[in-house]
Formats: sequence, C-alpha cells, structure tokens
Amino acid sequence: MAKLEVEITVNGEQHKLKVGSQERLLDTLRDKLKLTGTKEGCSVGECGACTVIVDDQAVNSCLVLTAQVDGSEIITVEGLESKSGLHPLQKAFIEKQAVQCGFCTPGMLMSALALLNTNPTPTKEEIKTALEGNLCRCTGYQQIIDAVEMAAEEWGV
Amino acid sequence: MAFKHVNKGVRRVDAYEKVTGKAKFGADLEFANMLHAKVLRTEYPHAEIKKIETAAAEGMPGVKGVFTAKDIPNNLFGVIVQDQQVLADKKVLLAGDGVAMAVAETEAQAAAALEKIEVEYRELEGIFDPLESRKEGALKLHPEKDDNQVIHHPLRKGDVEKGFAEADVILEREYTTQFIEHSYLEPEAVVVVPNGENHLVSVYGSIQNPYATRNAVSAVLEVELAEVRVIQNHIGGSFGGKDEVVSAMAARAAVMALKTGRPVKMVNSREESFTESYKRHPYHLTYKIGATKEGKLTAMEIEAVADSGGYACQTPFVTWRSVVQATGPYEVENVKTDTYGYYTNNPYTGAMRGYGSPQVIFAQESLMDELAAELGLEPVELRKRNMYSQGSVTASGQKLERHTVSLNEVMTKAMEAIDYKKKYEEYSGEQPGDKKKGIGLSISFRGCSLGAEAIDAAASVIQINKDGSVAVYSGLAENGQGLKTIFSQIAAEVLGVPMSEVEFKELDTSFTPDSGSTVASRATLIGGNAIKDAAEKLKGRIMDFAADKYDFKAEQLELKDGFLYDGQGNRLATFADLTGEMGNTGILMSAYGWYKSPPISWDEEKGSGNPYFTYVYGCQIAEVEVDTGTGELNVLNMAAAHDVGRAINPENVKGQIYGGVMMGLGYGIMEELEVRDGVIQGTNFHDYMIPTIKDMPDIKPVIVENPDPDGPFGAKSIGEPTLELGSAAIANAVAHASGRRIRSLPLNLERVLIGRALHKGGK
Amino acid sequence: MVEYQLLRAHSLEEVLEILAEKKKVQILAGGTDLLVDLHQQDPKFENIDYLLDITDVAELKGIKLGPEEGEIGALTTHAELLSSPEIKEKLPFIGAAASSIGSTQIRNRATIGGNLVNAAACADSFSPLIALGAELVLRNKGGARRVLLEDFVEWPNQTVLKDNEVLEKIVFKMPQGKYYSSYQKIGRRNAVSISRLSLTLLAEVENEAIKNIQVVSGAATPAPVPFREVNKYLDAKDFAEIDPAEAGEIAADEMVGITGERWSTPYKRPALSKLVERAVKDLLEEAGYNG
Repeated sequence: MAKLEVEITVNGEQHKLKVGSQERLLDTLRDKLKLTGTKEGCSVGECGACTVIVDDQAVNSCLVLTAQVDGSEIITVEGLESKSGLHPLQKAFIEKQAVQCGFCTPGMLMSALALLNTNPTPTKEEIKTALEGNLCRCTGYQQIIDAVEMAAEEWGV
Repeated sequence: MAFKHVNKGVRRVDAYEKVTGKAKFGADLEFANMLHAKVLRTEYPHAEIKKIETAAAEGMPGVKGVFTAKDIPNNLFGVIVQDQQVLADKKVLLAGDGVAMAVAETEAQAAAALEKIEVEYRELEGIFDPLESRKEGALKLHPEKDDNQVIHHPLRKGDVEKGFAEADVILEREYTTQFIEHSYLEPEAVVVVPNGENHLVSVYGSIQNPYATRNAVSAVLEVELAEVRVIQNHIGGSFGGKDEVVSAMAARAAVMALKTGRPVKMVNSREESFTESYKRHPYHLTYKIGATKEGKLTAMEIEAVADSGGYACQTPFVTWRSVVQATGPYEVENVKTDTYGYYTNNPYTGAMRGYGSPQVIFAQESLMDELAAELGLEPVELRKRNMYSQGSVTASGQKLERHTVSLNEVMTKAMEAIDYKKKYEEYSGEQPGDKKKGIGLSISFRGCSLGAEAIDAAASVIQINKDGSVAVYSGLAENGQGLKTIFSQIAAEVLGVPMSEVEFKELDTSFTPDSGSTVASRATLIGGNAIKDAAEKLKGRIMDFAADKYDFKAEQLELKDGFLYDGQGNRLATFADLTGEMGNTGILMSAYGWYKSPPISWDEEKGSGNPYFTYVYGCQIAEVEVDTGTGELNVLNMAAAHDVGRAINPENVKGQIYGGVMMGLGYGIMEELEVRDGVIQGTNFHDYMIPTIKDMPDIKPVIVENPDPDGPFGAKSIGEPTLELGSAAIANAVAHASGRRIRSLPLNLERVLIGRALHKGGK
Repeated sequence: MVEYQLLRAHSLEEVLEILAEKKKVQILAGGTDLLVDLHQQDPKFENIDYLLDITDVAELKGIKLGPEEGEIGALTTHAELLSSPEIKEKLPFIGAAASSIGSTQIRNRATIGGNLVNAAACADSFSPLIALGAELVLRNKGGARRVLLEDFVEWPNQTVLKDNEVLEKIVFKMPQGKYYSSYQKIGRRNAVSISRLSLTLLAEVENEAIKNIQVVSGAATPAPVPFREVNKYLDAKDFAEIDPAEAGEIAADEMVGITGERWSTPYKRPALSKLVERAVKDLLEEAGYNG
C-alpha cells in the first residue's frame, strides 16, 4: 500500500515520516517514534489516555490519522520536562498525590496543559470540563483537580 | 510517638517516572526478535467444539504458529479450583473463552491469521441465571461435578425461629446487584521471554499477583516454579482484576514463546479485555430481619446467591467474605446465613475491590433504613441501638476486643463532616418542585487481610549498600495504590534514613520469597510488618555494632536523618560511614523480613470462629438530588470516614478514599455490564460508563486513627473499605429524597424514574 | 481486512473533483466517528475504496451570523461553536448543544457537518438546527442544492446526501425580535454521554403570546423531528391559555405515535413530557408571565 509522506514536529523535533493510510497518530508516536508515554486505553476516544496536544489543542491521538496532522506541531508527555527541570504541572501532580497507577497521567497532563496554555486562571468547573474526556479509575479525580489548581497558581507567578 | 517519615504525606516514590512518561507498562516493552500473538475467542456461551481447522491460518504471511488446547501441556489452572481452561478444549463455557491463538511477526498478521481459523461448534443449551443453575435437574455445566454448585458457606448462630418469634416487626426483602467491569485504564499486556538468564521463561507485564501468575505458568507448562520468573512492571490499575485473566494470558504467551523460541508479546484491546476478563459477582440477596418495637434486632436470615459464570475462579472466597460480613456490623443473637456460588454460562466472576462485601452491604444497609422507617426510628438511631461496640460478639461468635471498635466514632465524624443532622431534618420535610434532596448513610465492619482463606504471611528483603543506600524488596506488588511509597516510609522510619536513601525495587519472583497475593487490603498490614521486621533486624545489628564501637548502651543510641546520635543530640557517625564500616568488617547488611498473621479460626460447617484477626470500620454518607421528573440523580456531597489504624501516608489514604468513593458511586448509580444470554452487550467505554470528573461529588475524607496492636505502627487497611459503602448510602439518600426505595443496582435513570430497569430488546 | 487509499483535498474544488471522478469515496472530517469504525473494522469499509480527508479545506469552515441570515461551515468544530462569542450571544442554544457533545478532545476535532452526515439517532446537533429551520447546502461538481435539515435524515445513519456530494454549510434565518430558547439533555452521566433524550425549544414572543414556536427532540425518534402537534398547540397562543403539562403530554403522545411502544417507552414517555413541560414553563417564566 502506498505510504504517505508527512512532516510533523513532535516535542520540538522535526520528523519526516512515511505513514500508512490507517496509521493513527497514536501508532506513529508509540511505534515509530518510540514515545510510549502516550497510552492506549480504549482506541475509541472514550478514555483520554492517548491525549496529546496538536497545534495547541488536546486531541485523542487514537482518533486522528497521522496523515491528517501533516505540518502540525505535537506535544506529548515526553515534551513536558525540560533542561530546567519538571514542568509546573508535573511538579504539582507529584506534590498533590495526583498519580496512582499512572496510566491516565500522561493524558491528564496533556489535557491540563492545553487548558492552562489558553486559560492560565481556570475555575474548578473549567478544569473539570478540560479533563472530562480523561477517565481515571484510581484517584477519584480530586487530587488531580488540586494539582491543576496548584500548577495554575505556580505557573502564573 | 513522633514520626519522621511515617504518618506523613510524603511524595510517591514512583511519581517521577509516571509524570514524565518514562514508566514502562506492559504494552511499552520491546525485546529483540519479538513476536506478537492474538487469541481467537468464541462467541458462544456454551458449545461443544467439534473441530478446529488451523492449516489456512498457519500459511498466512508472517505467521509462526497457530495453537489450540492440544498444544498446552496442562490446560487447567486456577488459584482455588483448577477448572479454568487456558484454551477451551472440548467445550466452551462462556462467550469469550479462547479457542485458538496465533503468533506472528506483527500484531496485524496475528490478527489476520485468526480470521482464517475455522471452528466448528455444536451449540448447547446454556444457563444464564444462578437461580436456574441451582435447580435440581439443571443441565450440568461441568460434567465431572455433582451439580452446578461452586460453593456453599453456611453460618448458624442461636435460633432464628426463636428470634423471629420475639420480633415485633419482621421485614423480608430481596436485593440484586449487577456485573461490574474493573475498568482499569490499562488493558492487560504481557511479554514472555524464553530461555533468558537461566530461566525457562521470564514473564513481564501488567500482573497484579506475580506469584499467582508464576504458579499458573509453571502448572500449565508443567515445569518447576524456579524455572519461571515473573517480573512485575508498572501496572495501570487492577482492583483485583489482573489475576487469573493475566495468568491465562501469560501461560498462553509462555507456550508460544517456548514453541517459537522467541519473545512473545500479547496486548489486549479494550474490547478483548471486556470480553475475556472476569467481573464482579452479581448477587441475588434475600434478607429477613426481625426487631422489637424498641428497635433491637432479634434475628436475621440471609441467603446470597452469586453468579460464578463459567469458572469457579475466586467465588469460593468471595462468598466466604460475604458469609462473615452479611449481617453488617450489628449484634444479632440469632443468625442463619447461607451464601452460594453457582456456575452459569455467563462471563466468569472473580476478585474485585470489595470482594463479596459491596453486594451484602448494599442489601443490609438498605434494609436497615427500611427497617428504621418501619419502626419509625431515624436511621442513625436504629444503627446506634444495634451496632458493634468494644467487646461485641459477631455473627460467627468472635469477640471484638483486641482492637478498637470505632463504629460510633467513624459514624459521628462522618456525620459532622457533612452536617448530617441538619440536612436530614431539612430534607425530611416537604420539598417543592421536582428536584428533591436527600441524605443517607451506611456503615460497615470489614475483616482485614485474607482471614481464614489461606496462610497469611509475607516477606521482604532489605539490603544496605556500602554507601548507606538502602534497597527494599517486597513479595507484595505495587498496583498503583502506593505500596512502594508506604513500604519505603516504613523502612526509612525504622532505619532513620532520609526517604531519598531508600530505593524500592520492582518485584521479581526470583529474588523475593512468595508472599501470596496483593489482595484483601493486606499489603500495608502484612507486607508492612514484613518490611518493618527486616528493617528492625538490620537496625539491631547496627545498634549492637555502634554500641560496641562507641561504648554506649544500644538503647541510648538513635538513628535519625541518616546519622547516628548519642541520645544527647550529638552526632557520632553518618549512617553511610557506619554501615559501610560494618560491611567491611564482614557483617551481613541484608536481612529477610517475615510476618505471619496472628492465629485465626473457622469452622466451615457451622460458620463460626475468629475469621479475621482484626477489622476496620467505616461510614459513608451521601447527599443527593433526585430529579423526580426525569430520573436524573446527582450525588452532591459525600463524607467518608474510615478507621485505618494509622495512616502511614495520609495523603495516600485520602487518594484511596477519593478513588474508592468514586468507584462505589459508579457501582451505585451508573455502571452495569449488560449480559444477555451470556453475551456482553457493548465491550468498550461508550457502552460501559464509569464516572467522569464531572460526576464527582464534593468528597470529604475523614481519616480516623486507632492504632492496631498488630499493624505496623498501628496501620491496618484502606483500599477496599472505601468502595463498599457508597451504593447503600446513595440508595438510602434517594429513598430519603424521593420516597422510592430501589433494591437493584445501579440506580440508573429508569429505576429512579419508574422503579425498574429497561433493556434493549426487552418488553 | 480494511483497505483503502487515503486522499487529501486542500480546496473545495479538489473535493468536488475527486467526488465526481471516483467511486466509493468516504469523506473524512474530524474523524471522531470514522476512526472508531476503523478500529472496530466496521463492515462499511467494504464499500470504501478511498478515504478523502477534507480537514484542510478552508472554504468549509467558519461561522457567519448576519442580521437576517446565518451560516455555519460544515467543518466547524463543536469547540469553535462553543467558544464563538457570536454564537453565545445570538444563538446560545447552539452553543449549549455543542458543549454537551463528547469531551473537550472530541469537540476539538469533531465537526458539526460530521455529526449531521453521520446522522446517529442521538446526534445532538440536529434539534437546535431543526428548530432554526436550517437548510443544508449540498454541493457537487455541477452545483449546489438546498435540503431542509428535517428532511435530510431518512433513517438513523442514512441521509439524502448523494455519493458525489459534500455538505458545504448549514444556512438558516436568524430568529427575529424577542425570542426564547432552551436546550436540555438527559444522559447517563454528567459528561461524555450519549443523549437518552434531548430537546430544543425556540420561540418568538410578542404581547404575552407565542408567535413562532419550534419544539424539536433528539434521541426520542429515529430521526429528529419537530413536534408538530405541540407546535400547533403552542403556536399563536396567549400565555394564559398555555398549560405546560398538557404540552408535555402532547409531545409524549406524538413521540409514541412515531415510534410505537418500544422497550424504552416507559421511561421516555414521562421524561420527554417533563422536558417539554419544563421548557414551556421556563419560557413563560423568562417572559415574565406569572400565570
């Protein structure tokens, strides 16, 4: 089958890739780029474990063909930590015990990042809306909300 | 007692990996030359396998092998009863039974091969209701057994006939509960590597209980335990769910790894996970309760029938916990309880957080509110007149005296946290409009750890390196609940070193002794004691050495913050120098820890004895708003008070409470795995709904601490108690708000509005 | 095994060319439904040789609300609808419906056109647009035709869109003068929930009387429809003559008249009746009528 050529930027790094017509962004990230921080939980856009940021928006990477995001800029959980250390969101997730099994965590972080990038001072309700597509079976969500609130505060400074 | 590390909300030791995406879960693993495998599962809930034709599949591109039951050395396994098939041989017993498997260079090739496998079935009549299955003359599902009964646990105390004769009021009620999917976010995944590092097979993956998986793999391969190595990875949630289903997966992968001589990876899709994994038991519960008009309970007669599905799995133990706890935490002189499990052709059922308690608590705590209404008493008052206090005797005849019986304390604290009294009065009055508020509560006692199910002991290994760093190994496993952190805190506390010096190592069955399974909320209690034991052994050696070296009495010395102190505040040495010197002197700086639970007893005939050596107590209260016009139900607030003995990590305990409350809320109001004639209707998260962040009420966690004499630093359990109470509290709140008593879970739109569930295709 | 060739169009012209030239073309917009079908290896792929990705086609995007007429490009995402200040101000019920769809991630990708063309019985975009009397502009290489949205769906997942056509935009007349609207939805949980029932009410009001009324349901009937009997009951009626409960009963009867007694009727009948009753009551209250 004919492969399609795409160019995407992932966590600041440019990639020229040949992708299949059924290849999802999730497959490209996990299988081709070996960025396994992005998780596959349901494959139908219900759980949010595969959430990444595509051109500033939180997206389920299981519901996008890689060919559809040609030319896009993508951020995954691996792109959060920088040379200067952990991102405020990561620090807050650690500080507020917002992590249990950790499988939903990368997706949660991406949804939260997309929110704070556009709305640095979200209300609790706005946080819930931003994270409503990310299921978590361990934490009951409370400490995740606490963490996003903390990150918003710290980041704002 | 002032603690340095214990009783503090220290950060999780595994959080860094998890927030950076570095944590490797089963599906993230890769090995050189690795193959991928897929399983063909039957759609028939009950059928004879006439023929399986695999030749066409074997010839497909990339395929390295196609296997059926005849390729499995020993096809039967099981933790309690060995009746579960690795691959169905002559018969399929449930829709989802694996019948064949294919291994290929890629996952897509393996999947394509499955399509070419031809299976000829002869469909058999099925049984889909345990009440049918128990009938005399019912079709036998496991022909080698006498009948379809998996288990029966009786409990007899006093004389129920006499008790009912003394009663002024007698209520008889039926309650039912549903199939529940664990819904761990990570679908099951394993990789088996053959012939590596001196083991026949090494098994990696999302494994809740590495020793149970090792037992299963070695039994299936018919090889010694020492030849099978299981290494646990980060596991994306389990809640009791990644036991038998993952053992079967590991056994299959192991067979294929040995046949092909290459590593084999298997990752379930969500649909495959729904189809094949075991569920929480649905129960059919019949309660009869008698009380005097003063509200004193005189007798309870209880029957609980659990649907075991195609296999026995954990049914014998799940229903055993039910028989112990079925009366709830109430003093009753006369009790007759029978719990049963029956085979059906439904999905099989096994361990899930709560383990036989959520079902009976839903019934029995709903019943208490019904009885209170009948007697004209407030729900709290009826409970106060009957609930356990210090020295109470349980239904099985156990006197509760070794630990603090804190029911009154947890109930009072939960009521304060949510302002119960005021709201109860307010909502008991007339409420205008369609939207009605109500408040309801439930209380429980719960036996900690395995109880009389099995030998209850665990091991640990602690090793102090020459630079003073501390490596900790445990035979119990991190499941996301925070075990690594809790155990590290205990080790750091005893050894007086900073948390940063403690490194918790992944569980590897080759290095740590078999400690049983990480289940029954036993890790902190049993495993924590084992960690403490090892740490104390090492501390003893250090103190003896230091006393000798510095000419102090060992009791005068103190290990703190990575230093040795003389008891007057003067530092004598660093922990690193001291222990390094000990190592260089030839002193063994490693220790095994071991803890075996205090004695317990159980008479299976009478259902009497001391089934658990200690208990925890909890109370949850739900405040709801019911839309009596549409059936919409909103849980507004919940309070959850739990006696944990001692919170090793209070922030972590809160996390367990929040998570458990939400899982209990899902159980109470929305979750239901619909099974029609043995077939699951909808195998992904758009059909099976679990609570989202928008369904979260305001939750007030209340940690109650009454240190237990047998717990490490007094700690007991928290994982399971948190989810067992919510459904009853919510049902009671709904009844309070709307006057409608709902006796079946979940309290969905239809039940709330019209009092019964509706099913697609139904009448 | 699913096999298809993926094509990408960058202009409307290109889309129409491809649709004219090739057979068995399936248009791919946001992909939030189609990729689910792909994961499930849906049999529909047997009839798909080409997947035509149109996400880059700028002509199909955008919201334009004039004083008289409005239009929404087919590729407008639910997130765009929901964050549009114009929609919020002028057509709040459209925003309310958009916000109830899926999750943030879904709304960022899923398009209003996709929701309409897929035509699930429970699709949430229909009822507010039908209430507006919206028409769809369906275009092929030869030109465009307009179809009333309420005539667009023949059966769940089956529309009158032809193989060589693309849904270009949704056009409608803007409600005039003083008007009231509401959107209600009942789901099984508070987010990411398929509608058990939804309801839009849109009414123009003049002198304590209803002038133009549209009550439209979602998920109550196989294809979303206006409740003609309820509309008839309410239309041109003085507030004083209106009994909200009666309106609810009429709607429920009308629904059952269309669907017949189904397994879900014992729930949907009282619940729909209540939604209609509430919508009418709210309208009266908002209009300052105190009975």
